[in-house]
Amino acid sequence: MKKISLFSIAIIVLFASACTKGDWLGDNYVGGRSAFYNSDGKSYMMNIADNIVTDALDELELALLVDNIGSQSGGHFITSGSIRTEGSKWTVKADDSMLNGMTITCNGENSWKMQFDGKYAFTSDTNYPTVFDINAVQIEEGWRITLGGSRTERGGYSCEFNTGSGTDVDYIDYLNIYGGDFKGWNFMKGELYMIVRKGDAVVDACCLVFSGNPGSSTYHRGL
Amino acid sequence: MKRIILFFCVSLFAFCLNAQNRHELSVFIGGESTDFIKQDDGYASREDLMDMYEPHYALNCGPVLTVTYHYTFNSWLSVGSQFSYGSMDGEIWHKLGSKQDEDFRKETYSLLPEAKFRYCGKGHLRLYGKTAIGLKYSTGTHVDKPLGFAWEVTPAGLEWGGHKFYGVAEFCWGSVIRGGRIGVGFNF
Repeated sequence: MKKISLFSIAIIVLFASACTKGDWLGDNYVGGRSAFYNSDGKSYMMNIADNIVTDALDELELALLVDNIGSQSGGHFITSGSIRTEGSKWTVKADDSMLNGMTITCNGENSWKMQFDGKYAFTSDTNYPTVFDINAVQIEEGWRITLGGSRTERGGYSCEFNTGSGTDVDYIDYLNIYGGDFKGWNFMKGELYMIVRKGDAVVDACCLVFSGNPGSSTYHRGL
Repeated sequence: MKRIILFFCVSLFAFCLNAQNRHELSVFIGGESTDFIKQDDGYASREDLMDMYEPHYALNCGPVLTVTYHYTFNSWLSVGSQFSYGSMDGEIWHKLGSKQDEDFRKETYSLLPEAKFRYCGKGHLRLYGKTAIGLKYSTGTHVDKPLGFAWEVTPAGLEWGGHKFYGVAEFCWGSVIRGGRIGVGFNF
């Protein structure tokens, strides 16, 4: 009898706990839904502006540092002469680099072109084919870059991105106003455009405008 | 007429006497329904275009409630049916897609005739398996085909306790539920 009572209590407890609806939601949010969604879109474009471009500029700055101090590249680059000599091309050859295989070509004085055609991961689950060309010109407080590229993702989705080719201001300035190490997107000024496609159909066109002030950028959709 | 009724009553009484403990009724609760596992897509990445532009199902799932009845033919075979009810609700987020967000609600009822095979055990622990095939009917906000085929396989189930009243736990796989469920059983 005692065994049956204990067993019954255990079953009742299990029933009661299981009958409560579980919250299986992966992510909750607070605040306006539209703003929440737009922040997703903005976050995606930040991955281009912040991750791709700054990784490329990091590699360029590393190449210049190696060239300045006249040291061997330690196997990080395949080199051909000084990276400051017009026409010379260095290739990133480092398995631990996000941009392994990227080439850096000197266009002339203080001007370089970076080209990449490979897989680039925003996260470990989003390692998708990415192609880009970046022209970077050294300016007083950092870099002025023009960018054109594309990314092909799952489900037939792809995007093309650029810094406004055909517009009056077709560049973004990456400013390093505090000096020292590279500071990233907080100090960017310019506009980044993106077209999203599913198959051949355009599903969205967006723009991220950087004012040049730290943390200040605005996201626009449906252009 | 009276003779016919008397004959019927006597026959029924004899059947009940003969059929003692041959009827088996069980009530179960299970975790996530198969519909929920297929439809809820959990976390939507901000680094993936498909996650941002395709509909995202953010759902809650209630437990699947199941009632089974079996008639025991012999020491290893019982035949009967299971009835299950499951529900889920939540929202479809279109995020950066062209539509507004939508409410989502779905209730599913399934009725599956099934066969139960007792593998071993006659004491307080008894092992069995089941196979079931039947139909399921769904209602709700986004149901394209209300009526559908349903199946379930239970490779391993365990009964523990007495022969009158006992606990049940089973691992099952199919279009009603994937995973396990627990419950109580009663023989009469």
